[in-house]
Amino acid sequence: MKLKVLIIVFSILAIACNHSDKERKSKEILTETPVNIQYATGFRVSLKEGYPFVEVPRPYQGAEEGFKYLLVPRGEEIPAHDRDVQIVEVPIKSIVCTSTTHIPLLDYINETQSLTGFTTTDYISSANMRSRIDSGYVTELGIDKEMNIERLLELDPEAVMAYTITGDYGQFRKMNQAGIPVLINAEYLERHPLGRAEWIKFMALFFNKTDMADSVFNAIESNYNTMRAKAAKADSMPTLYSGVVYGDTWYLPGGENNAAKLFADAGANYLWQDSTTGFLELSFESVYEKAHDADYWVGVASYNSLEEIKQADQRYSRFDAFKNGNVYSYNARIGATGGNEYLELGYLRPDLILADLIRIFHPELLPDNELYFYEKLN
Amino acid sequence: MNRSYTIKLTLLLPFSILVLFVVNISLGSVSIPFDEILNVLTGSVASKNSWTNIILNFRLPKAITAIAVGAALSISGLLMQTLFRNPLAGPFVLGISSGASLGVALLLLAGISITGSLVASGLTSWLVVSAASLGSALVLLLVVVVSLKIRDSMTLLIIGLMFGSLTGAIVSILQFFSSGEEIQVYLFWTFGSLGGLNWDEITVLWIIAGLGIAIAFIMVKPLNALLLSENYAQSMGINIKTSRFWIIISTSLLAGSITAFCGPIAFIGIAIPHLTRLLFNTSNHKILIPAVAMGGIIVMLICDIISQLPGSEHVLPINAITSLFGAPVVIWVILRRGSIKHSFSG
Repeated sequence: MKLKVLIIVFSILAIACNHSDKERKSKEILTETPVNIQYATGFRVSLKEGYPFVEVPRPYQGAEEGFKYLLVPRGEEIPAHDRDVQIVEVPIKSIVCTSTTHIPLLDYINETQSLTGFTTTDYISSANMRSRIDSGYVTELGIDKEMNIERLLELDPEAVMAYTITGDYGQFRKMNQAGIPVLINAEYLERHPLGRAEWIKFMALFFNKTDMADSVFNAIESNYNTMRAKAAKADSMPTLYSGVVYGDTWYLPGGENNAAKLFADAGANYLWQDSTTGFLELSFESVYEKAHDADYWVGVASYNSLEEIKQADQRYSRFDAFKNGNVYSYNARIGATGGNEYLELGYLRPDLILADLIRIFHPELLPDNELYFYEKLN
Repeated sequence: MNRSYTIKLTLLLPFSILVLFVVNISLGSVSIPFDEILNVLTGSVASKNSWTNIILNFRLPKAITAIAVGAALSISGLLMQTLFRNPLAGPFVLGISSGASLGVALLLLAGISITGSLVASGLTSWLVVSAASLGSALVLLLVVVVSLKIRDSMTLLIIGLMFGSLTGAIVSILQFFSSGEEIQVYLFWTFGSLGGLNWDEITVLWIIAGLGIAIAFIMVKPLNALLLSENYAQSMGINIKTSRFWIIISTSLLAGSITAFCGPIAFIGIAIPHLTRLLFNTSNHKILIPAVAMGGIIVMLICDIISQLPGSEHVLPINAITSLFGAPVVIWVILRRGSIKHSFSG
């Protein structure tokens, strides 16, 4: 990958020149887009007037209009632009985030210190970030969907990174009115696990750290592909099912879900691999009929023991995987204040998830690995 | 007892229940041949082990739960309609379901932030049941205390409704401060569920509901007298306050136990007594109580069959189905209010 950021600086500064405002007419013009995207489909980057132009065409499932950002180097003149384009002066120095999945993106490009506010900081598990929070550097902004706008305005970050699952943009408009750009992160809609991880490049654009994001991503990608190649050599294809019942409906990932992709890449036969949706909502008995003799049950929400599962619903105990104790949750790492690390770091590190799954399905292939996110229930 | 009542009570309704019970167990997402179903029900095993399991451990407990729900909710609805002489009263007018909702909301929405790791479905069902029971018991305790102080049942009805609004407001505030996932878990509880109970839970449910039904039968005479007027009942030597107390206790055992185990299941309690009165054309509780119980069982078995969407892999929330069924009935009742009043005055 050649991802050189080519910056040509036209300097009209003369040493002898006096310090007039005209000095600032200097312009950094890019001739190549700063990032190359391989897996992610949720954002694209092009050049407009020599500046990076970032688009998030689908902020939520079924969205018809997207978000657009023009990244203007700090101090440069802002070119004429359409009304729906948000201007972000880069590199930004402070940011407010709204999802724990945004936190590792900062940590991995060494911008931990740029986070100045977060909604419900207790959910954050990252050790680095926690020590910042505990030292009082991160302002608590209340509940995600009803963020405390007054406190946000007082904090005055240079950008807010947010996600949305609906077209209700009320709060975003208020932030825009206050001159704070809202960066929409739609990583959760990516179908490929590496597509989710690639959103680190999106974060890095605003900090002018795309080179660093590239090397982080390349390492994750290569680790992922090494793992996948290992799993491809397995002799067996164990079967598995996933998810739990809420109300009377069993919710499980569909074939289009990136969990299904991870299961396949780990050399397992996910029984709903061929379904064509992101999520399935099935009756208990139809799941039972298909999966009662499956080898593994992976992803049991927040249950912590087999007994707890049986207590919640005796029907779970009828599955062979339950009887044989092949039940796994992703709750191995709970942060200091109760957050789940899988739900925070997992998006950026599909390679770790894949390694865990291979360790579960084909322990002989990774004899030295310990489970990272996952744990076997007793 | 009139002969036509006897036929309906001893033949028509029980026979319908039997048929629907078998149909209920025969239908589901997984198609199982009928002879296999009969094999399993008569004590042998199906040709596929998973089928035996589905019938005995999935469908049978669900059908038995549906029967308890149908009987308990419709009897408690009947008791409340009689006590308040109001055709729109139901098992939840005294705040039983809102009290239970408050208990569950406190556990699911507020409890999590205190205990941290209790998140979502990691809760055992007994915890939810206890929270719901405590919540409704607390609200009922207040109602009973009030009922001992006041003479007028209408005042009690208003106070019950106010308790409902109060608890509803607290639940709203809790929801506001909860994460999406927590709200989702709470929301699923409000959808109602018949399927998740194990045999221990079903036994407890039946014991409590059975006690409530027994009290209702003992109260037949005061109930009949109350239909006329409280003054008339008093003139017949019935102690209004004592009767009211036991009617409330019976209702709370019935509606409270069902709500605790299955969530707040709507409309059955309001709609079934009306349907039954029309079928039997009587206001004698000696007939109405068993008739209403059987009517409730029939409708719950039907609603459960519909919610399973037989043949498809999906299910609908039981609460949506009972409401779809119940709301038109209530509308119809309002439109025919004249005739309902008639059946209330015997």
